[in-house]
Amino acid sequence: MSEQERFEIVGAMALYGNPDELAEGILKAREGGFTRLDTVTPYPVHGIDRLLGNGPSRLGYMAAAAGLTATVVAKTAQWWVSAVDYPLNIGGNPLFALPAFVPVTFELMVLFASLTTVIGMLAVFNGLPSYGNALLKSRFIRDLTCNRYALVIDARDPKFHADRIEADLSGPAVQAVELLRRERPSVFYKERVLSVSFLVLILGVAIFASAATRLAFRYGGEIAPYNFMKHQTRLAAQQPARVGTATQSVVLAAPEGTIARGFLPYPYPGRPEEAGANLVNTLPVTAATLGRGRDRYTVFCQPCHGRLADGRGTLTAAFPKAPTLHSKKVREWGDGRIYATLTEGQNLMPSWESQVSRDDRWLIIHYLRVLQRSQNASEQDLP
Amino acid sequence: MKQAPLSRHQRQHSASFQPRWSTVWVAGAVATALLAASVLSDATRFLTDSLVLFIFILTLGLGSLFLVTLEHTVNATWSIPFRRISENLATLIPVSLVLSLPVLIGLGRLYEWTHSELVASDPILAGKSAYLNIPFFLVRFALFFCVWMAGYRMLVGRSRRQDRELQPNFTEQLSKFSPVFMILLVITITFAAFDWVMSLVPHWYSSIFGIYLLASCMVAGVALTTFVSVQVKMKGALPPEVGPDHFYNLGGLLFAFNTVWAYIAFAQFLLIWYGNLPQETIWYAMRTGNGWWAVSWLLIISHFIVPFVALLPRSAKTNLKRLRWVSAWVLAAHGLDIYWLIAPSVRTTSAPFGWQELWLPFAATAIGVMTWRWVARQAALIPVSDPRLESALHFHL
Repeated sequence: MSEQERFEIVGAMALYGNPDELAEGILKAREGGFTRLDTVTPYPVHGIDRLLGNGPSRLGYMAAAAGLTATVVAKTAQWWVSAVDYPLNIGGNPLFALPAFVPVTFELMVLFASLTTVIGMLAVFNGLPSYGNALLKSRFIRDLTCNRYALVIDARDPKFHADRIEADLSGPAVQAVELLRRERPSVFYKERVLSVSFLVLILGVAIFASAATRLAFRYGGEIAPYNFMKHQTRLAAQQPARVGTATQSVVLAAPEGTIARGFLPYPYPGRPEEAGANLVNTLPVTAATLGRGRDRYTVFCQPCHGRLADGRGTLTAAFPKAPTLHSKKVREWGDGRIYATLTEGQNLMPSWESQVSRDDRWLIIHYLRVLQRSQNASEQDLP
Repeated sequence: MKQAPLSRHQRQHSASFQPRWSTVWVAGAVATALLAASVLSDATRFLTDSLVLFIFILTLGLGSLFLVTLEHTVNATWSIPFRRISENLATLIPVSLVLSLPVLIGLGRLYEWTHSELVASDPILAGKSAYLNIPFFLVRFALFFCVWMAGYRMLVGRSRRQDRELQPNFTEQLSKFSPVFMILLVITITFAAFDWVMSLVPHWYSSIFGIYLLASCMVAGVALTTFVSVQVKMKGALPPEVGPDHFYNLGGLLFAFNTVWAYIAFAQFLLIWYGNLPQETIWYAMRTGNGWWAVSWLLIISHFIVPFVALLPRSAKTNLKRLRWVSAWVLAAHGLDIYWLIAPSVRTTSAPFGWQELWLPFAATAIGVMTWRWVARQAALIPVSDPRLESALHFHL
């Protein structure tokens, strides 16, 4: 293949020594009818967009669209998290608390808009990455990043003629004119924006960065002063008590016969009949105590024994069926006997001693009596 | 000694770009008539409205002075053709001193903490009495105005002297003076806001309140400078080189400072709303009851949403007609902001607006136009001997 067949001309470049000469060159080229103009300068030259006849950038619309998207995303996400999926009552404010959601919305809007602006500017409007740009092969590329200014005319410009362009561009201020060539791709060449080697590099960087971060946090995290907060003299949860010096740790066992505050030892362990005979429900029956009993019953008993204590609880599909509490046996049990069952458990029923306080157990029994009477009412009960 | 670069602008204060005297006469006459009726109708209400007018005019002046200080601090070039306009508008600070007279006379009717028997029976007010008492209040009042007038004399005086004496080193002096003065300005505005506006509800406090008023000042100053600049540009009084790129920056500043105001205003609201403590929410409760709910919404819409949308497109900031109405709109919204800050604190029962408030816009217009006419004839409309004026005129984005 000859030289001409291997390369195609993609444009022409005129080199200037300062921005003012470049500006005059642009005006001259536009007067000559050229429309597909661009410039290459070592730094942004103010006012050059207007000289080139570029309209206002459309990047702002991208940023605005991204900002609006972020607004919708942030509001929806916060609504879903705070009001639907995991409703959180914060200080009695509404679950969908619009003012409280504004800061996150604002931050996300800034994030989306700025990322879109940067990526849009580089990738969409400037067409980067562009490894095959003919300018990179120019003889003057070093000058163009240092102290020279170039006017570039695209070969797709209707007024562009490769044989005439040097004459069209030349002028007293023009230091050089160069035709920009690009190697013609062979028939087997497939143009790719992202090459495999680039992707491998990105992957390598990602793995390295992750590993380095992990190692740094694993071994480097314990460096003063970054871990000062972690080491405090107070006891952490589940940590054994320290006695004497800080290095000598012993578990302090409670002395024999210690009773936790608010608890009394159950006097009849394993002897429910004895408990039934001796223990008496001393708590008064009032609207308040019955309300508390119903509340505790609903939380702890109702799932298995049912709302009416008839054994039709909501958990019966997954658990063995709990018995009805309206049987003659249970109705004739004394309060103390039921208290023994609540305290120690019976058959599959667990002990509730650690979860339901002593008083609450007695109140549940009060409420159970109400349920029993309501379901087994006699004629005298009618008003 | 350097020759002034643009002698054709040296003495350009012909009547061509000046607002008409008739505006002052008509607005002033209407304002005086309505004012007289207002005084006779309800003196306390008139004093409240006087405080609104005083703070409104003062914030316009302080905002303009702040803008001048900011431009010197960052050595801004593009803004030099507009700087003299801001300097002239800063004259509203001494003008507002006159407007403070009714407020000073009527302190007792406006401020609860001036009544010693009431303070003695109230432990919270008694605790604040070391700061909130009449003598110390007046001392601070004088101190604030001394600081502002010193800065005004320095910034505006040096700038005008430069016109005549062609001293480039004044520019350097002012760019060293401005950062120091800006700190003083922020501190004095903060405490002025506490003194004159926040202490209307003496039990209430908000540590961001000073910044709120500072943000109000800034947006008001930029809006007024933009409005006047566009007016004189449209009348052909600015050099032809001052073009879309200069106004783009001015519009951008207006947009930015307006958003800063909204940010600060929302920050104050969010914390109080979230905390939901009665001693803090009382201030907003005053602004949501008795029809004030609608005024609060009007403030949000007119002071944030409308200017934000109107100035968002790039083209809007170079469109002089749009800039003119948006800046005038922001000035009106700023007036509403000041009214919203003050009136509900004093007048908690009656409707938000009445005919008694009608004199305010007329008085503000008359005072503004009169001040501008008086001060704009004292010097050239642009700082003709600023050493960077030439590069400022050829500023491009």
